[in-house]
Amino acid sequence: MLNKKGQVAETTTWIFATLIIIILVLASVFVASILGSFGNKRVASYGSFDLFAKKSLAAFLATPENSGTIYSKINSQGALDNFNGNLAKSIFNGLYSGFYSKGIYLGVYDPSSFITLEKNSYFGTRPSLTVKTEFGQVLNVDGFEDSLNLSKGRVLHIVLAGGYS
Amino acid sequence: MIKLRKNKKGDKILSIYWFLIIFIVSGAVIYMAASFYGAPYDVRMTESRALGDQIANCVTNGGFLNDSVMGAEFQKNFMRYCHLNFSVENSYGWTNKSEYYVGLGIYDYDNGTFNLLGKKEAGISEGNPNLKSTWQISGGGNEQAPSGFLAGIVSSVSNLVSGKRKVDTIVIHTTEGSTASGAIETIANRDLSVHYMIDRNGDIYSSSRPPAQFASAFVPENQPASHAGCGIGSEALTYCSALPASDGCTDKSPVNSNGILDPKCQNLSNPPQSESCCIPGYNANSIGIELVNLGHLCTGLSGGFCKYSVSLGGYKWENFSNSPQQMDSLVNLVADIALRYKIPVDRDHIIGHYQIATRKTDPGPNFPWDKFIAAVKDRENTISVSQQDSQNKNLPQGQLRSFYAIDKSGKQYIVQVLAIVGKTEKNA
Repeated sequence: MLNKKGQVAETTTWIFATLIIIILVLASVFVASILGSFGNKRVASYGSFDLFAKKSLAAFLATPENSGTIYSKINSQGALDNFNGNLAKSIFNGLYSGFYSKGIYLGVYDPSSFITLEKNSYFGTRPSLTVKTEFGQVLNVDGFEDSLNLSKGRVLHIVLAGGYS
Repeated sequence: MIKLRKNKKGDKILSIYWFLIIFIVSGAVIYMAASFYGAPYDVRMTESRALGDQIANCVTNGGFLNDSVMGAEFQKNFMRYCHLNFSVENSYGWTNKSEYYVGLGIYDYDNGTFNLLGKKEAGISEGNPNLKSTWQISGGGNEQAPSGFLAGIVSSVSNLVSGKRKVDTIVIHTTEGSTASGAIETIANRDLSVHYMIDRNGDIYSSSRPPAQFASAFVPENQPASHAGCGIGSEALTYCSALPASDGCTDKSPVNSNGILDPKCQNLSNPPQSESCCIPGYNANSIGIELVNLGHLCTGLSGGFCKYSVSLGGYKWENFSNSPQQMDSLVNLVADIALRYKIPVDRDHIIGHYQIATRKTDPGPNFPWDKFIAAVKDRENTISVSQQDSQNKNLPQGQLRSFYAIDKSGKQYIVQVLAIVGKTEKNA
């Protein structure tokens, strides 16, 4: 008699335990479905590499200027001049300002100098691809940058900041 | 023995029970993981960029245009040259309709004018052209390229950059000249600026598509342009108040406390030649759009300029109905801007230059205001619905991008690539 009562109690416990498990599982499935529905908006990212900007830079540097190319001119002068500066402005501002909203820069700088924010009359100040927040964190800004070593340790730097919209 | 047999049976039942529970829990976990992580990625934009990159690599190498690109054979066998094959989509059951569209335009750079003065272009397109029109109307893409066969695409977000200013008015101008290039030069030389200019063929010029030597004629939407005639803010007030009363504005302050044009300035019998009667601040809060249009056709000249008169009856005006593509682009552009800035589409917020500067007459009496406002409202609805559709119903995604290139002789080009991808899933 006592055993029978114990069996009934144990069976009842299992039945309730099963029901609770099923209820928990159903609730979890429901929550997962709701959370999963946000996933429909996920968009695959292409990354920050911009082949078109890179091609423009290559063609720009290969463009003839005087007896050589723009690359040889910039390499020897260490700075943009009126011809290649305006051409660069026309190309990079004209073609990419719509995609990169936080600044477009092309210029030459000397990494050994202590001046970190270079400026030239064609593109203004070199935008940074990192920003410091009010909490002291350093965040990366979306964008594209590339550089080319020149003579005397100088560097030609292109920065397209603002993310590919 | 009996007791043992009973226990054995109970163990069997318990085993079945546990298997059942494990089955249920495992199934639920799998379902949860699938529903949470199994949502499809939208790869259309990524795929369109990959397509565009493929074409760019096919056209140039190291900054130089490939020799074959300008030849007829390349144009004829573009897909083969660029290793593209849209027929692979058949494996996904996309047999009825192509889900890709690519276009390639190669333009003379012409001293940075982007072919504004003369279009010499090589154009190739492959795939489903319907995708292009659907993509355009859904506000897709960024305008960033020179005009040409791929152009006519209304700016969507290209000219809208960070630091959005408050814009509540769109001002329609006419250039009162025959060509876009002449008007752009004039605007730049007078230190004026505008946000957009629409040519008669519907091409839209902007800061994203500037002519290099007159780039200052255009500013992006996030900056005020100098187009409305009164300068910006306090500069305008100073300018207006410095004018003599004989100019027509008796109180020297043409704007009342509500910012409304003084009625005395609206019905002047002798419109001042200066910019006195205008509402300061219009530059600050407006977007200026120039239409290439002759305006009034002069019956007589004075010092090389048309004689101005209060009575407009003596003049004939260029008719806008002669340029339906221009009007179509204007409708698209204004609807796009109005949607983005939530500007009401009415005559209080979409205005003519003449409404804020009394000596101005543009866009003139032939401008079909009622028809235009109705068309903008209609287009706004279409864009709005299509933009929702593009998010919810997998409408085409793509981008129009450009790069600079030269050929072996040093001749300069702008290469423009458009790649659009439609559905990415079977039955999507």
